[in-house]
Amino acid sequence: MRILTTTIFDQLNQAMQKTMTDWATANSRIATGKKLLVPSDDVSAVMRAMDYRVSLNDNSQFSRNIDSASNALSFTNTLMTSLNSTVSDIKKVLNSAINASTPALQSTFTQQLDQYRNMLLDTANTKYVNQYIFTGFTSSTQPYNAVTHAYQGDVNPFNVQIDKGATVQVNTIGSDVFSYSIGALGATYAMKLSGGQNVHYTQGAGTTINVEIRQADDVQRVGVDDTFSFSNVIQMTDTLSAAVTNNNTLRVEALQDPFNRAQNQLNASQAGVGARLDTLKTQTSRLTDSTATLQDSLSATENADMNTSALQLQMADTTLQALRSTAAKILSQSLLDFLK
Amino acid sequence: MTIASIFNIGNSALIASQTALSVTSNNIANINTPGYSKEDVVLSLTNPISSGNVLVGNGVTVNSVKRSYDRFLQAQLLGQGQNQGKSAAMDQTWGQIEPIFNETQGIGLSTALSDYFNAWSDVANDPSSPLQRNVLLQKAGSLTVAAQGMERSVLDTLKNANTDITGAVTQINSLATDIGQLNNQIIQQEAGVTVGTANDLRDQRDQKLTELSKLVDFSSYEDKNGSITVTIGMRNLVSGVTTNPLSSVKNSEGNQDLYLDGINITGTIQKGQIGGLIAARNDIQSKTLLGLRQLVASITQQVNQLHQTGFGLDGSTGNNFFAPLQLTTTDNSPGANITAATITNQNALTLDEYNITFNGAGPYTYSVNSKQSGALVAGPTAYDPLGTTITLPGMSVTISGAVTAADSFTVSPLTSAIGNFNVAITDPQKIAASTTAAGIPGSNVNALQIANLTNLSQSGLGNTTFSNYYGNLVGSIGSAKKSAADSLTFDNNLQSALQARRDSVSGVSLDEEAANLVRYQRSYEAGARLITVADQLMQTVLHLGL
Repeated sequence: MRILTTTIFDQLNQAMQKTMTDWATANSRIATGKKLLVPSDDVSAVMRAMDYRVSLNDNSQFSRNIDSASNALSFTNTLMTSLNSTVSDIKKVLNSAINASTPALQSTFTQQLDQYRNMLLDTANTKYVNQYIFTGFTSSTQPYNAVTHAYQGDVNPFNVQIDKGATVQVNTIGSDVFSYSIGALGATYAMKLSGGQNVHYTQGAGTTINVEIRQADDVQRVGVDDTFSFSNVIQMTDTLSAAVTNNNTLRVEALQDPFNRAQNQLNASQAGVGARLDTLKTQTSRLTDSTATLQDSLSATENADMNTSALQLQMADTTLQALRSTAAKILSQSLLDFLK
Repeated sequence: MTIASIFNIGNSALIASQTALSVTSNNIANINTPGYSKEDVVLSLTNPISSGNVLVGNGVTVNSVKRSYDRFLQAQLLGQGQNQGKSAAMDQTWGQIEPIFNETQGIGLSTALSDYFNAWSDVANDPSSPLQRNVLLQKAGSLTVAAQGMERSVLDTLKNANTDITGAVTQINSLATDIGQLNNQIIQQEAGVTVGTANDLRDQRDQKLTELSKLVDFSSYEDKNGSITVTIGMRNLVSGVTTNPLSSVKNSEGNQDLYLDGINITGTIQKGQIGGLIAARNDIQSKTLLGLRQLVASITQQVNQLHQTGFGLDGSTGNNFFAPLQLTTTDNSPGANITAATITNQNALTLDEYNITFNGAGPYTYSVNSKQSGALVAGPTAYDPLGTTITLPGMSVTISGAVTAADSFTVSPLTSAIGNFNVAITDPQKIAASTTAAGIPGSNVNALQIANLTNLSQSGLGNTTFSNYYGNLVGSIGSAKKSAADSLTFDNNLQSALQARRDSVSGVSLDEEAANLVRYQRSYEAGARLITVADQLMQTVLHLGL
């Protein structure tokens, strides 16, 4: 095969073009810190990187959702601790009021109970980020009526997404916190008061509990001494305050068990909030681990190895210099240079 | 044999050496001329003359100037030129598409898509917040702008491809004219010549054919008179001195079709720059652009479907979040028209495009096929020229007027899917985060459902999620670019190897020519010396007896 000057020129030209391309690629990798510069560099790696990014983005959004939910639930938890303390205080007053003998004491207890009632009402109508927290979707409406103290919210759960296909409830329904149930409509139980009377508690509509105080042997309900009802702990406190004012010790004593049950309900609700916070904590931990793994994978997929890239750059540079030197020597010579 | 014959022999040597020096000079002068084939003088003996009873040589004559040429290599180079032209065009065209979808640098739709659905999630976290609602509208606007920008760039690339096709057609016609003229000159120069050919003209014509090979795939053969016939798609581009101009005509879809001799030969062109441009254009239209439009159409359809069922803070319901999909039709019938094309149910649209064609010889029947898969969707059913309403999934089309079997219509809910991809609501209060009127303002159920769309497989997208579908789209573009780049590298290398082989046969070597220069200079000097000797002999003869 005849080798011509032009053949050598073409070969050198191609070799220099290829080396310049290698040099530019290595340079870009060092400049950007990435080995993937365009999708065609490594299609499957780019698609993997996109998947990682989507998952990282999802994790980031789920984390934001969790932060928002955690803040709201932590605030709710704090309120419920406070509520629990208030109900305990009310129970202390109740126990004291059963034996209150003087009007002065009764007045003091009434004032205390009214204060506790107001605290309960205020807590029940607390807002978080401009929304009432002890309600459902009607989050701009005060959950508990300021006059009747009846629940006027709804029972819809407000969920946020914490993972693909997983949500957690952020709100806490007021009727689940401030009311309790003794069973299906019409369910009943009875207790005996210290004076021998029987107190019958019956489940009414919704969260209403109907109370009847009867004589001990009054099976036919002929001698009903007293009836009253309530649907939440705020109304119970109202009833208790009035009973103390009126020295109605039967009612006071009859409210002992409802307050115990209300506090149990409150504890159960708070445990539910705590469980949700635990779920969020666990999910946060999982997302943190997942994010770290995904970031490692993403880094391994698209980030350039600086040492390798620097060596490639050096190699390309050396090759280029060698090619230029060779070209300068070869291309400048022909037989014509030696003929005199 | 006389002394005078020595003069003649010396003279023939001078002429032969001078011719050889001219050929060598010409070789040196054309060392860098593309397509030039090295030439050599072919010397031969002149007829001997009788001298007594012996025959004595009578000098040298230039028999011909031979062109160093390998017909087979030239044919290989032309074929490889077509491959290389195609690869280069595909690499260049996909090279324009790839940066539009360069997710490695964060360029593309991925970020906007994630941000949009994240904004829905943020609305779900705080459905009554005006701030989150405004952010959602802003992110939705960013998504529409990103999609429209990408479509615009893709359409610009397609427009460039069509412009390049038109430009290539002009070049082809210019080359065809040159080849025709060279044919004419070669015929004239070689007419009646029995030894040798019109070397330089043939080199020029070969060079024109090499340039043509980079533009389009063609066949060629040489006629007895030395002219070349060039055919594209079984039609003559050049025949002898006659050329038929290739023309490009924009079709109903905005693409340039190629016509030769009045025949559409677009489908027969597979190689060369035009072949590459057509192949890339078709792939970009049928995969990249369609895929992007299907993705946007699916987002529009799915988000609107949920949004319409929800309730805004102001109690409004039934609102589209994005402007709904619209039908675009193409009319390829001189006698009939689409008098009505309506989307009857946005949610029932299958994101397919349809071709409506006609069969028979009057009365006609119509058939509807999927434009992408070719699957029969409806028909054949009798066509009524007074008005035929065709019901398709989610749409109905009414055609009226006389048709022929050559007529066709296309109906697409995708063509304008990105062009009309705009946020339909401007009032943040109308963002339907709630599923019920009673759920206002705190219900986030609908917002959660819409945010969760990003995790759901969409039947219109081949049962993939939005992000997976888009990822596959980016992957297909990367693969196409990689394939084009690899082909180009392969074809360039093969082209170089063939060129090196061609050069080894036809190329000019300065070393060889320098040697020839000395060689023919010396032979010229020797010839001149011969004449000097003959002259001295003649002088000697003239002075005999004096």
